Amino acid sequence: MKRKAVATVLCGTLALSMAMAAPAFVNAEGTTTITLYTTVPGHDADFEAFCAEFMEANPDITVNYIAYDSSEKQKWMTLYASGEAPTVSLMDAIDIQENIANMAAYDLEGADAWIAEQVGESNLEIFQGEDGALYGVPNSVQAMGILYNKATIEAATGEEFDPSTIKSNADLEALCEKIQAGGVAPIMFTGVDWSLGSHFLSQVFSGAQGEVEDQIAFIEGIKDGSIDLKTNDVWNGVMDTFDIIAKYNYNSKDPLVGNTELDGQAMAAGNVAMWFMGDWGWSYLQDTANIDDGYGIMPCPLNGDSEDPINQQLLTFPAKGYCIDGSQADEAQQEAGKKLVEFLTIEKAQEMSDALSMALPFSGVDITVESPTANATLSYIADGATASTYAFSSLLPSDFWSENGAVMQQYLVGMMDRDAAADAIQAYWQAQ
Amino acid sequence: MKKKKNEIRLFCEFVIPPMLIWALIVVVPLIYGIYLTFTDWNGLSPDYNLVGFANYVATFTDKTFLTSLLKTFVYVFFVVVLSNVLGLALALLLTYGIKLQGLFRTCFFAANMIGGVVMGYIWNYIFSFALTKVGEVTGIGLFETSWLTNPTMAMVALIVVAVWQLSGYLMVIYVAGLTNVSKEMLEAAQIDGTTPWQLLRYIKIPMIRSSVTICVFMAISRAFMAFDVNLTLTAGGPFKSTELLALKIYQTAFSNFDYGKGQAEALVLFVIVAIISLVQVSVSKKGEVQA
Repeated sequence: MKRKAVATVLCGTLALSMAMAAPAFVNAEGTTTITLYTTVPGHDADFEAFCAEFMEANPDITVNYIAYDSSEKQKWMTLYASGEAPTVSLMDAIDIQENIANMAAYDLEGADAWIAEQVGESNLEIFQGEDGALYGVPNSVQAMGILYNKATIEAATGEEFDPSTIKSNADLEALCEKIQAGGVAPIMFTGVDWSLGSHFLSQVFSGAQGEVEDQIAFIEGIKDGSIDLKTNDVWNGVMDTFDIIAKYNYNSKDPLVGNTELDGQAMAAGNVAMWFMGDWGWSYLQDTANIDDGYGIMPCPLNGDSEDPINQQLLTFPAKGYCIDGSQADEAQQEAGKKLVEFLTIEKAQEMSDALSMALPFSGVDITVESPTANATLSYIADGATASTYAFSSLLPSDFWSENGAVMQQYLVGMMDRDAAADAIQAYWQAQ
Repeated sequence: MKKKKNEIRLFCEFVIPPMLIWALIVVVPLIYGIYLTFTDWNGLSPDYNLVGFANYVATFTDKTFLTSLLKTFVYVFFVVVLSNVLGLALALLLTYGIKLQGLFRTCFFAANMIGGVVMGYIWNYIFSFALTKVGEVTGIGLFETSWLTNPTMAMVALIVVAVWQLSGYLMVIYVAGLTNVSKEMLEAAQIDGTTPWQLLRYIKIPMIRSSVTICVFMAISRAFMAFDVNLTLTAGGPFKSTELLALKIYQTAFSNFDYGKGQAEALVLFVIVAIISLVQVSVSKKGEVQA
């Protein structure tokens, strides 16, 4: 009798726990439950607060926030494979493209018309599928280039510094020479594969090649061998710039010790004047830097021609995009997800910019950006002085940064010459 | 008849449920995993195609996979040999009857209590910043630059960390083996005039052969499966020179969205580890002696 009672209790508990574990997306009161997954490290608390505010404003929607996981894409794949696909995910454009079969498109003609009003075409094209539909909404706009500390440069050179005077890599070298003569390390690379392989090297394939069609044609040419990377002018121009930065590199003693925190501290302390990075670099600087020193970002000159406009155009790109699952989320969840996206991007624009220290790509919101480097990015955007980064965001395969980052690292430490590096990169493309 | 019925009932009650659970969580995923090696699934898409043996052909013709395999063999060899030698040496020292030997055992074992990811970050800091400071102050060339930025030294660093962690664990198993060696036998040997080396070579080691079998087996399987320390200490760098097989598989499946090929690589690793472990255990078992 006692055993039977125990068995009954156990069976009951099991049944109850199974019932509780079963997905109950729309409960009896008509509440729609959705999930949000982001790949932004260190901002779980911010996103949880945004979700709480959203739920307060929309009592019929419950948002379960999935905490950041450093495995990022693996976690995303696991969620999909286990039937728990996030309704809304904040992912890199290339990841959204890889998973486009599971995505729901935004309805630009209907309820999502605000996206086209708020975001320019250049920031949307990387989220478009082959069918022309839109599958992602950018959360921010970032720029890669050369960060500078104006006060350090001026103290070293004794002259006022104007970033617009750097019109070629020869100008950059001359500036480095002056700064070095003033007793300060001129510039630095953080020798990590993602910075060298993804950001620096991507400049060969992006705006310097022209518009989107030119970038696609260039990569196709590299793949079919009709273009030889070794003899390509853009490649050689970009690598000339690489050589200049490597020559004056603050980290030249041990170039591959890649630590953005320490590099940020070195710049904030005035030990180095410039840094090839991106406007997000402010996050490494802000704790120790004096904002009055005049930090900013300028385009990395890509060749020696001071008349070439590309040398004065900043490479900006939407960092990540919000996508909506269409494979496991039902219509009501998709609608709720899209509502959350509008809330996070437009209604919480100021708070999001403050939280992430980033500029936003939305034309209809009036916000103040705290980060001086993100503000510099916004100035370039306002002046129209930006170049296309379509190849960087959409054409470079997922493993581009790690495979070719290894090549660039070997080039940086002198284990590979320029031609060997070009051959390795071309071989990579031809294996795709 | 009733006894037999009772046995069948007991079998159904106690053997079938765990076997079913085991089949569900081990056998079914294994079979499904093998099936996925014949597909071009990217890990996300709802659709995929059967591609035959294309993933296996791609795996064995992929130079980076073969390079990674070779590096893994080098890593496994040094980790297995050094961790066992050090583990045994520590066990011999700490069964000698020295003062505070219990405390020392705990201290050496403690390294094994630290999670691989945390340990990778700790040692990353030591190699990149602490030792370079030592090099800066003392002028010792070996420490002037980070070990992790030189391909050879980065591999040495990986081996050092693995040996440091594993030897404490193996030490515990060796200690258990050594304390079980009959005291009478040791005393008899000493009365017969054996030297300490002879005592170790001809008495202790033969008597702890089962511990050696377990320790070598564990060291082999753990070294082949090394992932977390590899990821956090070197991340496969510099320029992929320390990318061991488990990390390579992870990159293929999850970074490159090539799940089918990643799964094929994982199956190759599984077969290699299974063959080596089976050979090692059967060879070691033959040499075991009973007191």
